[in-house]
Amino acid sequence: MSVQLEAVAFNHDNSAATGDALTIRRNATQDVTVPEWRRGLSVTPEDSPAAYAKAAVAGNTLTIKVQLSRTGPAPSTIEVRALDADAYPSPGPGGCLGFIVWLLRLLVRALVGNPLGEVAARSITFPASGTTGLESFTLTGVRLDSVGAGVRTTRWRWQYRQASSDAWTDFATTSHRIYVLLDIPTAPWVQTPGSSQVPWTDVLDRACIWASLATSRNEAAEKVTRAVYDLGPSVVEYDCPGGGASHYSLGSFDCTAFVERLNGGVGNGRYVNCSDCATIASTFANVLGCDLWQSRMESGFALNELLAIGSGTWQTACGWGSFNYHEVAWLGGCTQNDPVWDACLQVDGDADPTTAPHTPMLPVNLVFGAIGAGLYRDRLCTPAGRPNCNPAPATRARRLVV
Amino acid sequence: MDDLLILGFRFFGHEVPGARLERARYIDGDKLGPVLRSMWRRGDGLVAIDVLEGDSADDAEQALQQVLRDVQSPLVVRTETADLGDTAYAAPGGGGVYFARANLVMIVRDAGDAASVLDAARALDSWVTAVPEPGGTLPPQISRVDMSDQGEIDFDITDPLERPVWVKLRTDEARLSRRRGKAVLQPGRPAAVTVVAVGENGIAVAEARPDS
Repeated sequence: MSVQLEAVAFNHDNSAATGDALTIRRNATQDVTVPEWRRGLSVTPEDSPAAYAKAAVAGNTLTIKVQLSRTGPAPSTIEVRALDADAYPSPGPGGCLGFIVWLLRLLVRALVGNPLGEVAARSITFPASGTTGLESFTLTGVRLDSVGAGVRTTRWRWQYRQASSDAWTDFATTSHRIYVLLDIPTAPWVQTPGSSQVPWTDVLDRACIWASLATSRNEAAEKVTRAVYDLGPSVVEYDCPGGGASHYSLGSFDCTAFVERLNGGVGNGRYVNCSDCATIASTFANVLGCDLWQSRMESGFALNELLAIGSGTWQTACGWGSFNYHEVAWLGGCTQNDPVWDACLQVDGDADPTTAPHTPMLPVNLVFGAIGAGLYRDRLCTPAGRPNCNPAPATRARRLVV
Repeated sequence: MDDLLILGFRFFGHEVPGARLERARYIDGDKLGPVLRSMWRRGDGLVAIDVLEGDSADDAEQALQQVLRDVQSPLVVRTETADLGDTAYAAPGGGGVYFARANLVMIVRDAGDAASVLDAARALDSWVTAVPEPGGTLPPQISRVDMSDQGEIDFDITDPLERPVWVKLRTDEARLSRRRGKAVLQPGRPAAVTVVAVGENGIAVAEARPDS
């Protein structure tokens, strides 16, 4: 008898994400097809992606759905399970080399290894056609609650046996790219099947690495904000030539172009402004389960010297002296009492932000603050500019990703 | 000055002298509507050109102001040069030019090592406003232009290879705008209109007159 694994579905219930994977797509134009793993089509882990929201699945039993087929004469019922292929490695070289390999495996497993545990054994009865429907299997040893945000690989060794007294027989090995998110992604991201605003793996690939091992929303937002700022000057820099115009966030977020830029392509070019940075940071953080807005402060305010993204020179934003407006990733009501994450510039973090010497500080989880409070507003603006620099919560938005 | 209305503007790759079109695509600009986004390679530099198409010159002016709300520098100011747009703004040094022409908004920017883009903006504006001679290797065909008593203009234009064609309408007797997808004259009565169809390999021109 021969048993074959036909398909594995992670997101088998797209009305919820409490016991299975989230609804995701690859990018603006390409879906992720469910079942995510299909025989003959899925080779690498990237071919079979799935994302889980830690907070949503916490305490719940996770299930996947599996389709099997058999060829040749066989009993109509068998038992099937899948083991963690990395926890039960095939015998490797012995001696010192074997120990080093084992140690490396442990390290890799801790950082990027399987968070989904194993597939618990259950009996499967084949119909006359020889191919089952998508049968539900329970996952055991799931570690999602003990790992941080990130992108991991699950490799399963599929086995069957005919009778409980028989030895298990390997019949397939599969590998899957698993995105671990802190919570269900928030707007602009949605969980509506077919929507282009369903989380993109093109975005998850970056966001999960930027926020790797983060265990809280604030930590994830901080890591994403730092990663975006650190894209300068090699990938992007502040748009001094064009007067600080939006290149990626005019109307909607041209995420397709930005991802292309991240991947070494042209994108929409190298320049960004504050709206671009706020949009990138909040959108990439929100896909991990953060809940940030893009919101403005207005209008026409004089600046302290700062370090714009991609610049190594302390100056008042290209030497302009002031901003017409500024936009940041902002939490809650986007008022002066709410914290901001600014991926566009570093302010002076010392006791006197109005004069040199300067101590670079990326504003992450920093309350906007009242005038004189020594918080974000005071660090961004000169004393004369502060009264003109006011939160404009009516402008808060979550730009569509296109 | 003549009134102008552009319908279905697109790039064919020869609009910016000395630059090669790398990519052009429409994106959903949300409240701004569809945005034709293009990237051009000029020497070692990159020039980004976005085009928004409104229903009227007033629409374009409003959209331009909306675009300028996303510009942080106080030094991007209105420029009064006669050869650029109905309304134009530019960054010092010419790294960003923002202008409205007829029902279009054009955003021309240095996207990397392109330095000034003023010349590219001017060339683009000239291309939009020009009254070209018909001709070319494979021009579009204007088979019909009708005008209703209410000043609605209807036409049939095809490309021999079924490629996209954009259209410019010009008149000196009325204001032009688009209503429910159709060009209309204000006041709502017939007037003499020049219809220019611009294809990838040629241009066709037709005249529509009130008594035709």
